[in-house]
Amino acid sequence: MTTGTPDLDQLRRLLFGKEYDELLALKAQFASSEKYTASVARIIAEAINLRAGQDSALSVALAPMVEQSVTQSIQRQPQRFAEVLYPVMGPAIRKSIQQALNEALANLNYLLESSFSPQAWRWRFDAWRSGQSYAQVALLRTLVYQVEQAFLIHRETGLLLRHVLAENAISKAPDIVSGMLTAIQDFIKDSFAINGEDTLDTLRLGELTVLVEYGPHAISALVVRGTVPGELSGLLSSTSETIHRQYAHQFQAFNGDAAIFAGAETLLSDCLKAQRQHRQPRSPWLAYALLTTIVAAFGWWAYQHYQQQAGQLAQEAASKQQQHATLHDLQAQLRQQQTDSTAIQTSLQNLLEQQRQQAASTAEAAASNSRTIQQLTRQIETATYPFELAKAEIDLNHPVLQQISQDINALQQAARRNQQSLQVMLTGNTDDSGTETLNARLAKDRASNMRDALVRSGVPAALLVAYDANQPGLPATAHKSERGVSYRVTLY
Amino acid sequence: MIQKKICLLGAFSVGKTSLIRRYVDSLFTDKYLTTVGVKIDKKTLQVDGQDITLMIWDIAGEDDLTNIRTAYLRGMSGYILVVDGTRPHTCDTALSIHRMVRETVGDLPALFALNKADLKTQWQLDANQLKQLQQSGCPLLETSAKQDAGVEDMFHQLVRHMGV
Repeated sequence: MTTGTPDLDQLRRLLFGKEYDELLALKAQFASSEKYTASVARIIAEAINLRAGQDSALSVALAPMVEQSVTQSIQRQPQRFAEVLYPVMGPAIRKSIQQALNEALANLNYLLESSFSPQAWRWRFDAWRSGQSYAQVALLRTLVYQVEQAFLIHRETGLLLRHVLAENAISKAPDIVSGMLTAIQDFIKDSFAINGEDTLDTLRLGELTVLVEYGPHAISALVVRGTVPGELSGLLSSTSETIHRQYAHQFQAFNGDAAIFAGAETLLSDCLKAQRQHRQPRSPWLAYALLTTIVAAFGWWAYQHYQQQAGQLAQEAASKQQQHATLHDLQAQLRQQQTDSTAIQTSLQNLLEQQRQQAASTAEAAASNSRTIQQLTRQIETATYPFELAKAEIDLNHPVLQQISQDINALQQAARRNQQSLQVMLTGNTDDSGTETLNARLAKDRASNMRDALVRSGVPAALLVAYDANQPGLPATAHKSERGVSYRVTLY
Repeated sequence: MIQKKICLLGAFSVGKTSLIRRYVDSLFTDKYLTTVGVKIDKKTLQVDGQDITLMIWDIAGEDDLTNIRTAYLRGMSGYILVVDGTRPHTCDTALSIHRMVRETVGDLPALFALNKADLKTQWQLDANQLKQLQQSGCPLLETSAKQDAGVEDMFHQLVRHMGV
């Protein structure tokens, strides 16, 4: 590459010789971004290493970009980060949980011990006597040291930039304390005309110690109660350095608004350390006892609850079973009743049938008996015993008499079956021959003899009534003009 | 919230502490307690809709034997020079302090408070002194911590003068 006219170029070559070409090559390297990039790429790793070894400026410069890159990457591919971190996070979480549980157990035990032990009652007495709270007394008795407050103070103005406070510590007007710390520093330096670089780094009042670290722009201070361990000063110094490194721009731009230092609270909080008195590692028997009691109480409650539930379930099952049995019995009874009802209906039907049959047979028997009565009545009333002329004697062996006797007895039986009583009227008759007187006596004898004969042949006497033909009241049909006896059958 | 450091300067017993106590605690007492070294108070106020916290440094008074420790003035955003009208030399002291501050700290917002206005009939400032105060380029206010006159206005004027 050449510049200017050939003559000038020739002149430069004469003046610079071989180095002129090297200069041109170097210029070309800078002019070409590709070549320049390749050139930087060869040395960038070594350059970073070198600068990182010199100071932390590179870390400070790269930190925002790294944070932004990581944030964007996580937002874009959270799953990938989760997979990468999983092998690390899993054990860390388990360890953290185990540690938290152990600490919780130890704290519980400590709380129990500090609540019920003789030492705790002594501390309570001290608290009552000194007018302090029990927490304060217990804290003072058990702590080797505790960083109660941490200040970040603007060195130039003495204004408070940030202030953090331990949980159980008390603070009064930290912004005024902040100003006074700088004032005291100025007072000391001014009063004793000490070397300009020397600073008041420690204040002590009773159990309280104030550690002060002076940075170019800010004063960091820790208020420590108890015996201050050596490492606290180192911690304070490193914290001050970190704050100055991270907030260099904010210090330059500070105009009285401390909000721009809000992020420094985290760094200050890391300084709020505490150490309790070394306690012999003892088995936390109180915590175990309490936990055992709680577990036992819970177990007893659960057992009682289970028993109650089981009893209720058994009772319900028994009740259900009983209900089933009752239902079954009722169903059986119902079936039995249905069967009985059917049987009763069948029996009733049979009885009705029997009654119908009986009624029919009774009716048939009654009809048959009536026919028998009619027939016998007719046979009796039509029977004729052949008396000899003018005689009234009766042959007991005469078939007519025997027939009449049988018929009257049969008729009596038939009348009984028909719920009736029988009476046969015997009326003696004569023919027209002879005298009337004779005929009257003859008729009477014939009737009387016939009655006697029938009685002798077996007819009950009560059934027979003998009349002569002229007996008044007799029907005309009873009087016949013949030699014989007429029979009149009456049923009642 | 913006914080600013201001200082009250002046000779002994001009009423610096009384002005601050009146402003911060709304109290006044005739009992005099000299300030040893420095005393710091805080007051939050609102100026033109903006909240501001003043860290008020009450710096021990100066006399012929005691000079103000200039280290206390470092980082302040403004200051009030208090003059006791009943004692003419306090005006000279205030002007002297004003010059000293401008030389050591720089040109900062400041104002002069002619205190003890409740005793105005007993003031002994001559015309020349008043002229010097007026020519200082700083606002000049009459105040009375006892009667609570001009106290709040004094602080507000300084804050406005500081351009907060």
